[in-house]
Amino acid sequence: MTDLFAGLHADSYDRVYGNRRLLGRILTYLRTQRATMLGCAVLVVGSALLTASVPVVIAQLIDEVGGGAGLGLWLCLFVVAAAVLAWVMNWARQAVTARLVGDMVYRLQCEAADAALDKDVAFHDDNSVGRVLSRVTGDTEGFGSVMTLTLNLLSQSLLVLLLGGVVFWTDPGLGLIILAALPFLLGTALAFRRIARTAAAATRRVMAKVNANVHESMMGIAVAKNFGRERTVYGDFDDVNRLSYRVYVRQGLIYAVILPVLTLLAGLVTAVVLYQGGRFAVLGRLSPGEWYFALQALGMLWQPVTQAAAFWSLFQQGLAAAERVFALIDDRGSVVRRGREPVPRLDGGIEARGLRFGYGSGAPVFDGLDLRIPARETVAIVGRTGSGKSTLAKLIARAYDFQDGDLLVDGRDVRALDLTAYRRRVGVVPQHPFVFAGTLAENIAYGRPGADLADVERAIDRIGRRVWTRSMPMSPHDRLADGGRGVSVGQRQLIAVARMFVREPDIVLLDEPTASVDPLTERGIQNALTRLFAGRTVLVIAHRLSTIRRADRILVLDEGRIAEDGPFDELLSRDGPFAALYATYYAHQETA
Amino acid sequence: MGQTRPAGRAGRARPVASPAVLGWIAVRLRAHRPLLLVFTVAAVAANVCTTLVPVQIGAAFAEATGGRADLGVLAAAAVAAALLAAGRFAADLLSHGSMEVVAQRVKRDVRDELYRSLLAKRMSFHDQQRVGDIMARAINDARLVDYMFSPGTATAFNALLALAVPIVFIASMDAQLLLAPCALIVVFAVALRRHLRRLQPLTMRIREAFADLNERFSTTLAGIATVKAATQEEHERLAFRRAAAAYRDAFVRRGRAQAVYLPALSFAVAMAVGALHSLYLYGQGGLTLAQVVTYLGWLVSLAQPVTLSEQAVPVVQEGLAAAARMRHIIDGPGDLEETTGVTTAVEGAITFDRVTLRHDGRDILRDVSFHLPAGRTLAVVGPTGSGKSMLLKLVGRMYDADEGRVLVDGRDVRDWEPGALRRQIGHVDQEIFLFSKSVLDNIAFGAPPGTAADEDVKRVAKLACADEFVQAMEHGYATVLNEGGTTLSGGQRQRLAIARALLTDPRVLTLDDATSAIDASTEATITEAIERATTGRTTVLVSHRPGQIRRADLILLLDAGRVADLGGHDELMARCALYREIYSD
Repeated sequence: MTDLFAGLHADSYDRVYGNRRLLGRILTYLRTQRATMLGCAVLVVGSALLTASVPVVIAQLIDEVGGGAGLGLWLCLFVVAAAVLAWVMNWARQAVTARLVGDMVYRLQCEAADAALDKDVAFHDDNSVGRVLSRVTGDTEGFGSVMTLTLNLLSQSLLVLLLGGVVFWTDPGLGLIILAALPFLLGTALAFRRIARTAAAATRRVMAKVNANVHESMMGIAVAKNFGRERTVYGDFDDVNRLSYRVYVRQGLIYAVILPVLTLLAGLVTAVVLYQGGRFAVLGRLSPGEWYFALQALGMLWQPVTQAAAFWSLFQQGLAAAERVFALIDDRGSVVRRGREPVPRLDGGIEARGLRFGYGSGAPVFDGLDLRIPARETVAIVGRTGSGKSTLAKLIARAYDFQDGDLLVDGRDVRALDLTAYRRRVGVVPQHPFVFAGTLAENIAYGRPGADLADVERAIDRIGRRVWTRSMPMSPHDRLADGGRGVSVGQRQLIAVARMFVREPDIVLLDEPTASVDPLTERGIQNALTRLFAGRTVLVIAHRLSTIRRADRILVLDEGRIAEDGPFDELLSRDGPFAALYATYYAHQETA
Repeated sequence: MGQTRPAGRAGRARPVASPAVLGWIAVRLRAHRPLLLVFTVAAVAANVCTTLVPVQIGAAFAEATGGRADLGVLAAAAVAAALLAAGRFAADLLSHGSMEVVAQRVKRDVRDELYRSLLAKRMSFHDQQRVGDIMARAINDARLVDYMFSPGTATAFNALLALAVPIVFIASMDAQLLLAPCALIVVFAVALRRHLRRLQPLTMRIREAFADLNERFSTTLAGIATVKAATQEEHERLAFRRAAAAYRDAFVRRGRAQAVYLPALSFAVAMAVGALHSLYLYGQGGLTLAQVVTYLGWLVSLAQPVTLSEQAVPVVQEGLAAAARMRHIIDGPGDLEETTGVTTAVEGAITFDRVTLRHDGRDILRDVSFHLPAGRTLAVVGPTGSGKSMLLKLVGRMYDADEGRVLVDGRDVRDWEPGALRRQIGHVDQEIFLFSKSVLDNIAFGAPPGTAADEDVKRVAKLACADEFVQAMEHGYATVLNEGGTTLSGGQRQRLAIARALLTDPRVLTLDDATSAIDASTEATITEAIERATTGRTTVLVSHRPGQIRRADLILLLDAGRVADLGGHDELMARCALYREIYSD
């Protein structure tokens, strides 16, 4: 069994909720629907009464069959009327249930999606799209199906109680026999519960694994094809798909055993009642009609009871799904918010004191970083790969949170600022900007919530029509594919720069924004950027000499520390780390 | 505009759950015939056992009311009932178990088939595809296909048996009594057919709404860094709510339609007809009281198939809708890649012969011709958006030219087996995708799993200047990356990708701006490394680094998809204004 679960580990934020807590939580989703639930219950009792009355009436029919065809006719009419009425109530209940479950799943989905959106980027680095998505859509859907079943079966349990009551009233002895069987039923159901829950949790996890696998292979399909290694990708999928098969078969077989066991128990009880009832009838303690009723009632009784007992296992699937959704909702993102101070506008002075940060459990990138960037200056960050250039930008953008020290903006603790309001004042141009499905104009307008077409046109104007049209042969109203397929990286960098002109942030963070454009376009963009940078604090990660030269100041990062800091000419003349870097790496770009 | 991103795509072809889908599923069942036989026999046996219980009850009833009242006969009937329960238990185990295995196998197989077909489709298909929608098909729809069999079909089959067996017994008692069951069947069949027709489009709508929701949120998650940087969480939230509400509305509408389950009413009709009819026959002396009791018992048991059908119908229908969606991809749009063709070793000569490539009615490349002898280097330059990347992708036939021919070693790329051709071309894309595997497995991706020696991996990693930072990682080469490798810097990703491309020692290298994100301190080393790697290989590279361009044997200048000029660096400097404009500071 252990090897079956190989690779089906829980995600880091998974937690175990007790059944009572889970049920309580689920009930809170139903609490707002009290009136509907009450209506449901009335309908359930009504249709249960009607259904329960049918065997009673037939028993009467048998006893009084000598009473003439007239009585028989009336009773028949009653049977039909009861069936029709029960149907109507059933219909109403199902319609209400659909609404109830639909609303509940909707709320759960929204909460799960909100939670996923609130998580910081570090969370999303660790948890692949497929896995998170599986919780937000798949698990909520699975939970919904189980809820529908639950509400349907709740009605069945009421029927059980009613019929059981009537049997007791008719003959307590028979009632006791039936009652004696109940502990066995419950015992079986409970015994299966734990196994069923483990199996259900495994299936939810394996489903997330398949989800993640399919997402990854669709994202990496071009690589697989480029290398002619579709077979490798298929091999990975095949492993996951087979694992999924085994996990699901195991779960299926567990459920395939539960119901027959319960049915067997019920069948044995029927045999006992058959004998005992017959004896009582012979002894005259029961009329034949009553005996018949007891047998029928038993039939009607055990079916819902076994279903309810089997369902208890099935319900574990719903609980397992709900548990995963709740874990996502309850996991707090790690971006610390100490306050919600408003952020109307920023001057953009940035200061770090003793900043500590590391990715996950890895070695710290910064171990006590001190740094000061005056407001409205353009600062170029240089340094080797892995010296922490991008990380610094990500920390300032609050995509990740630092573990210790202070980060101040305009002298205020960033953790005390309203996160969204702060981010609104910060603009980021990443190396590989993401492009969404939608028109080009929509993608540019994405730079600022509420931007319109006029903003987009203005942004293009400010970049320069000549530069723009040369690199963007499509019209602003042409659709771009999701993820930027069919749009080159250079074009995406242009889109990201245009987003900045729409956004008008106070602090701009750029990760070599022209890395993938040709020198001609680069010059065009650089001119546009010069206009953008005016009056804002700018932090640009630079690989190119042209970018470095344009900066007011240069920060040299080395192994997570500021090795040097100052204007270009000063640093060059100082003969320090920057001069060394320059001589080795940038000097040749002067002539290139 | 403001709220900008539309949720779905208009004009998608809709899959329909048609009889063809039934046929498609039936073919997939063929391999599981033995299990299906086990299921059928076991399910029949279970039903027979269940149906014989009323016979025992009837016998006991007759005995108890017959006056003689032999308790031994009563006991015999009770024991028989107990044995029947045990028989049913065994049969149930077999029938449930076998159907469950069939269901899981079918799910595994159709998912496998869907996945294979996705891998076999051309890139032009994948460029258009909505990943979230595909995931919905491969995971959630596939799940519904297994539900369709277990419990769906199993329940439906049991319903049929539960309908048939009592009817057989009733017929054996008195053919006249078939009146009520026959009425039931006719009314039931008509009502069920109507019900299914009404429900079908609503069911398909749910699956589509779910796929839209999945698609919507998978894009949000894939672009989460951009969403956060642009502070567009609110916009994404609203868009998600819209999609979730659409799914809920589809769900509720189907639920309401499902609630109007008219077939269930047919049971009431049957009960009334049956009760009256049997009482009439009893009154006429045609039936004994015991017979009436048994008959009514059987009649009541007809409620079961009706209830069962109510449970089975939506499940089966949803499964069919889901299967139709999966099949829509498998047999549907997007050409499959060829699996046959030339597989010989590549020398490396590349020729473009008047190649034109279009996308969305726009020319990406127009009339591009050049010849690059084996072992030489071609640099493709030109403004952003001039079609450089697409030109590179045509070499490995990732796309098919709309006009003209692309030749490798004088042979049309369409004559090659695509896989064989591509395995001999090392490609580094301008955007690097790494898999959530170890660094080692990522670099060794180009080789069949398990065939690459660790030393080879380290050798190419050193070549690509990746060894140093990989060694510095927590678990070195065993470090598992995240999906896409997004926690690495752009430069680190590019170096791993270069190593990956070099591992199989390909004859041809296509490098699409492969060093754009590599910082200045590594640039000199990597340029050298690339120079070393390209010697002796045919190389087509896109670069914005003047040093790399100048060293190429041939430079192709693209402007808006056309060849603006072709020649050596000095030639172009001398005669081409655009080239000078781009490459002089």
